[in-house]
Amino acid sequence: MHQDKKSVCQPKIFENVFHTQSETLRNFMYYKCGDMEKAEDFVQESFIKLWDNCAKVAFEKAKSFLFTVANNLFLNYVAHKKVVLKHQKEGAKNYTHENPEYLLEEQEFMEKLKNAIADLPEKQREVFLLIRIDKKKYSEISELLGISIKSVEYRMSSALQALKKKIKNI
Amino acid sequence: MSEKYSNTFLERWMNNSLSEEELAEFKNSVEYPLYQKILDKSSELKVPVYKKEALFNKVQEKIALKKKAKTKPVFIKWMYGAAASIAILIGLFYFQNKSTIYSAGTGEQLAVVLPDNSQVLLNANSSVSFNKNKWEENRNVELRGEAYFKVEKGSKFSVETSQGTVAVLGTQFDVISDLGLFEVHCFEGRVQVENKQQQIILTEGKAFRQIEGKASENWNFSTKKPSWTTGESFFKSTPLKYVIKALESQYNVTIKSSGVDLEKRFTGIFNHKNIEIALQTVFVPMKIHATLEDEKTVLLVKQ
Repeated sequence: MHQDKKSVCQPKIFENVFHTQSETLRNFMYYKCGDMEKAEDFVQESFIKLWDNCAKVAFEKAKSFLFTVANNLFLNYVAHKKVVLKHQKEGAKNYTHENPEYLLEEQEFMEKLKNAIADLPEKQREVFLLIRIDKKKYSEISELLGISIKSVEYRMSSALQALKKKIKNI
Repeated sequence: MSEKYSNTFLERWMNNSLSEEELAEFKNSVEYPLYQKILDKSSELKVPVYKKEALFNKVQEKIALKKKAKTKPVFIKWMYGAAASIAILIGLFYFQNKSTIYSAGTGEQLAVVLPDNSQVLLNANSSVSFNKNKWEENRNVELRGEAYFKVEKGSKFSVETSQGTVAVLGTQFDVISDLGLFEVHCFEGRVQVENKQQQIILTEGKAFRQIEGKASENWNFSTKKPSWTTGESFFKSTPLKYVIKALESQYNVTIKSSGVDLEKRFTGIFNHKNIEIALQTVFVPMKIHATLEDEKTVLLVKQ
């Protein structure tokens, strides 16, 4: 039986897991609770838990272990805040029809969009933002959250429907 | 207002699996620009800047702190006076709760005498831990891997594993707790085995096994000691993967398999002296071709 000798107990590997996973985990927690300080606390705690349990958690399972632990920490934490996102200042070159009116409209649209995202149910918001901002694939999200790809797709399309409705009605 | 386009339709759109006609029609619809704009604009959103290094350093600091608190004994120079005595008090407190760990490495066995003269014989790649200072209050050891226990008579003695607890009064028994396998042999006296699903009592010459939480098996045996304490390992219709695990632990090799059914049950013995003979005794009857690729690797191929 060939066993992968990679163990999370090895500091190098642990660090590597941190480098590849912590940003998504942090953003994921942020999309959930809207409080960056708290989100980073959750990331810290999850990685410490991973280290404490490094002998029990197989390398391949480390990702989903982190997300499960962080999610549980989140569930124990009650005070949610509103998710506040920033947006990129648009590069001027991309647009030819740039006039003050257009810019104002865009600005308004971004505000509406951000508000609508903040109002989404947490489960739809996290999936929608992991895909749009963190550019995660459906399959990856399904693995991280321990849900089926179908559920990821459903959350994504529900989020899109909800956003559209919300933005139209404003 | 009901949505014109269903969730399934949008899912297919985002997956690029709409047919050309569907896509063309969708693009001409009133709704399309808004959907597209939401997707486009949302990917321009940003989260606050991430200071990864800083966070990683915090994690490492906390881990280092924890480590110190758990295992470092306290050495302090007397010149620090009063501060030192407080530190010693704290140190003693940690010491009090520190547990003692014994482990046997690959290919090793280790005999451990517990504070009450009970004996533990650890098989390869196994460890026990217990709290010396609390031993008189409760005789409690934690086990990873496989061990043979000879317990002195006295208060309840319990062996905790990830898969269940074995509790006794004074007896001899063997416990295996390894990757979903939980197996107990009682050699003398009575043993109580308890896990999430059930609680049973084993008497002399009875064995119990449960694999990955599925239905348990019981059988009788007549040996007086576990076979591995006398230089060989005996298996009774055990899934091949656990036999392979035992071989790996015994001989410090990695066994790679391709196309071999690891759930197939094996009954038999392998000895601890010669790896080639051990491989043959296990794999020839299973119709598997085993070759030593180098000193550390064995390759299994179905015949």
